[in-house]
Amino acid sequence: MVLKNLKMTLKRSISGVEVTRLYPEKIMDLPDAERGVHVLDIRKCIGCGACARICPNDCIELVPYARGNPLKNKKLQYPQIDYGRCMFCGLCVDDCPANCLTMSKVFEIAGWNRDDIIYGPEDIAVGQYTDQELAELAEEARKAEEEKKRKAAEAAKAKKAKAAKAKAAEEGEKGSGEKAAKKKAE
Amino acid sequence: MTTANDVLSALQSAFPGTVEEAKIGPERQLWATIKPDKIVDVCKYLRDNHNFDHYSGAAGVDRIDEGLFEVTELLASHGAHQVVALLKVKTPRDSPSVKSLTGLYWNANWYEREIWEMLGINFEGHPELYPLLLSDELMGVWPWRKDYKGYPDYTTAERAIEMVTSEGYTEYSIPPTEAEIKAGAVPAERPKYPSFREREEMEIKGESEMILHMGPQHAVVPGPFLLDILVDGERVKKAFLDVGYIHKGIEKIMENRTYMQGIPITDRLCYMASLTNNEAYCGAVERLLGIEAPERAQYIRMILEELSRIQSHLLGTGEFLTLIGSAVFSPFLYMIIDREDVLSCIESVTGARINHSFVRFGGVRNDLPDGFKDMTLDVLKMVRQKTEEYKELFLSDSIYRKRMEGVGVLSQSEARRLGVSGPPLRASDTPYDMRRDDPYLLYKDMDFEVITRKEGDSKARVEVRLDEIFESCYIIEQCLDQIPSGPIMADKVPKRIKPDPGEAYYRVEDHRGEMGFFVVSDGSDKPAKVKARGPVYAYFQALPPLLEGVYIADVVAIAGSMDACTSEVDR
Amino acid sequence: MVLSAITEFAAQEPKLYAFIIGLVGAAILASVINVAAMAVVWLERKVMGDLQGRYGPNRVGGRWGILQLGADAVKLFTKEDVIPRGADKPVYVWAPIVASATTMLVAGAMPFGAVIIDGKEIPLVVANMDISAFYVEAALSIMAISAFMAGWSSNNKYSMLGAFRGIARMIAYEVPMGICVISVAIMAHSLNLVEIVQAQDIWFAIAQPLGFVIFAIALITDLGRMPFDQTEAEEEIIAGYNTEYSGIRFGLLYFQEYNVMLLGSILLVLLYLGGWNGPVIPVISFISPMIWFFMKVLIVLVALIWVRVSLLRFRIDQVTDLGWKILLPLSMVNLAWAVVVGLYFA
Repeated sequence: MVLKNLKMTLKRSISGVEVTRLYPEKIMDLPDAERGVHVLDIRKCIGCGACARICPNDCIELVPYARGNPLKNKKLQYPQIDYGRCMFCGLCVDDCPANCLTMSKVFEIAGWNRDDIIYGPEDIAVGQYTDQELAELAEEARKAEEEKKRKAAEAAKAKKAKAAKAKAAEEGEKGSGEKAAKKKAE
Repeated sequence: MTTANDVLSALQSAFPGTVEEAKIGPERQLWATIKPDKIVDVCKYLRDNHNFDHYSGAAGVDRIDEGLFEVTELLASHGAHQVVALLKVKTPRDSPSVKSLTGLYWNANWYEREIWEMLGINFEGHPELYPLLLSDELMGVWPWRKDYKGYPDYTTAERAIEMVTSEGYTEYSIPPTEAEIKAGAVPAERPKYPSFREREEMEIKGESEMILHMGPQHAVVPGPFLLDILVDGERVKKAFLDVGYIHKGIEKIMENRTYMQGIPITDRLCYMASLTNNEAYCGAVERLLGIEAPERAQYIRMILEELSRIQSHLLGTGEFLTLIGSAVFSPFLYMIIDREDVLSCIESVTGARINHSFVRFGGVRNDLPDGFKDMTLDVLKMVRQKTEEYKELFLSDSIYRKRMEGVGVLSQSEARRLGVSGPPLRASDTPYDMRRDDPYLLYKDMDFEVITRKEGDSKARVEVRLDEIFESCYIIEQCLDQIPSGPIMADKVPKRIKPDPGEAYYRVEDHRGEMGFFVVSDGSDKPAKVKARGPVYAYFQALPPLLEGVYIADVVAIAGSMDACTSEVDR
Repeated sequence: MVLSAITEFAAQEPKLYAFIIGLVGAAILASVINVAAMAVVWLERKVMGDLQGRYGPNRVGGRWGILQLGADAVKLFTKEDVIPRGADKPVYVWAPIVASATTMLVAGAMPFGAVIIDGKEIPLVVANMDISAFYVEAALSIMAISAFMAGWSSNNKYSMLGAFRGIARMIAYEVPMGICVISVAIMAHSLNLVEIVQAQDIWFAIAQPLGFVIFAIALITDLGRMPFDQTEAEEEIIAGYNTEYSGIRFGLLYFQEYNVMLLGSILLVLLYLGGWNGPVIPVISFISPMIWFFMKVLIVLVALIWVRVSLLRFRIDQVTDLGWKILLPLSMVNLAWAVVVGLYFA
């Protein structure tokens, strides 16, 4: 009659385990395809803005960032994602032409006010340039600049010398031509 | 077997001169433009002579460049043939008026009401042209028109006027400002009709009758909708239903987003069935673009949709059990526990548990991970065994049988007339399943049965759902055996999706019934119109006649056995 | 020493002694019984969780969640006191008080076990009446009046429906319950609960099996537990008669429900399962009957929770059908059986 019901619950109690996961102590293991907080590989990002254009909720804004090698192109900007609006649809990841935006397994992003959950490039980027690397890059750029200047100066000097030589040769020819003409006249 | 050509030639010979343009679309679809004054006769002819007895829906499109409105009626058949007739009627924009089909098809009622309140097209002969999804203040603004300027004023909260009605309720009304009327966003004079409460109170006839509210805020409803029942003691005399409490305007939002951005939005039509919603939309756009997904992608789509069907049926049946038992009824919790394993399988492929946005135009987003086949086969074995236990439980439990047998009976002709589809229709002895009657993806190569039952009561509906879980398991196993290796995206998918101007209609078997997407493109990168024809719309429409004469406790049993999802009704 | 002084005082001034004992007993009872109800709620939540594959309360007060009910009671105390507009104020305010008073009235006459002092078994009861079985049965039915008061005075359609259903259910099930109590009394030759327990050399559950089943079903119905909780069916009528109650008033009604569950299970144990009878445990013979009593009550409580979690709910017309058409004739059969067996074989 109703005994099957009673038997089912009793069996569960005796032979079943509790399925509750005691959350903050035990976290679930998520699959690799999980769509969580974004991860930006900042060395590959070209700042094209395709992610900002495709986002259905307009959460992505491009902002300048010092540790993203601005020396390459002074106007390069990187994505800043507002997680108050993001719905984790993954369209930005699919659309990125440089394949630098991926999604990780992090899902705990609570904050105390709305500004806390706007994650800029400093929060989501990996492979950021450290101070030393930036200093090295700046040094290299300076050296390259100096090298270029020196080469330009040398080239200018060489050009000037060549021009003077040519002029002297021309004058010499002209002078010798005059001399010859004078001799003929005598 | 009747083909679309046969129907077209029969139509042209029976009504010479009324068919203005006709096209035979792919997959047995007949597109025809009919002269406006003959539409009722044409539909009557099709219904009586060619078995077009299923009215699927109606879509209204605003062609502002041509100065026209178009209303497309969708007709199909309950299994006599597989032709879908899409009959278009054009009407001028300054005085739009179309003849109503409610005389022929009972369930045309709500579709026409919605087109009226959103676009302003008058349906002649409609018995109750009252607002459905919108509230009373928005009547007359016709929001889906292309020149609707929006409701620009954000000071409505301060301008609200408080009134106390005669029974002591406090109601608020928001008068429009001068600026709004001048801008044309709000009409100065609204159409006059009785409000919902007045229509209810006209029905109270006796001293001992009262109206009991079961919604919008109630423990029983799966989403907010208004269900008022007129009771006399413990018996229901009449039921009133109103929807539109979570109308998000998804169709209008999709007109302002590109095709690709529309995919996550279709997820949220019904969050339990997000894969089939994606599939319907992507299928329609694929037809517009003329591309087809490769085989491996089609198999992956089928596997995931059937897994999604399993978890939706488990949740739907479990939720229904909480309505006739209490919320602590154990088998509900056991079904939820089993469902978690199915969701883990889906999550390992798509990356999310509910809003997947996984299907793309021409393929899918991710490939199956390693070890998917073994994990899924284990999970399916467990699901089969547990569902067997649940079926046995319900057959032998006498309290369950007392509550469910003979409650909310839908006879076969009644179910067809009311326009329901999906498990409630199949429980009333009509084998109508989109996977069999309008095959999409690779279902024509799969071997499965369409489950039907004869009784049509609540118990039959639940049994159909539980049996469908077994069929889904079988389909998934076949797919996992046959899946080839290969690409998961078609080669020729353009980067900027700008289909040629045209229309497409695509139907899938959603977990709750027949779901169709009607997409109209005008050559730009945003769709001109997207209409989502959901299965639960028909359930809600069919609920008030079903609830007459039952006990209050049976109201929840019947509403719950339909497995409704309000989000899909209101879009 | 103290004991002899007390017995002397009892002999000299019987009326004053009875009055003082009554006051002391009432004070202890009132303070203990609500805490016992909280313990029953905690037990229910833990057992329900175990049967459903989850933990019950497991954060407040350590791993076993013992202080969870204390936290709930504090929460209920600190809520705002709301009386709905249009409610019948005096009746609305008095309904929870009547409900709590019912439990006190019932608990006053019920023995809660016994202790063995100097080889003599002394039952622990506040008011040892000669007709206590009958009195307890009658006092339990005042619950229906408090439910009706709460439902009617709330000015709410759902509460009113809950109130009607409560009255219908109570009337249908009081009759079989009363007849079963009378059958037990016939076999035990007394209506005093203490003597009924002492007359159970074999348990009455074995001597009157039909009566046991009928009384158990009628008890579940009277208590308003699943599968018979139509008066507070959450899905149809929100919360039935306590829809409009919140804060401490709701707390009183809620704990009254569990109080009555505890007292009802004690009644079942006393009438049919042999009360505190059992072999004397050698070392702790002082409270050995108490231990047997406690174990039996615990088993009955767990069985009630088990039934709640596993079964679906009846419809109200099916409940009254069951009461009038099935249980009433069967209880008459049981009465006849009790007369025959009790008078001829005992």
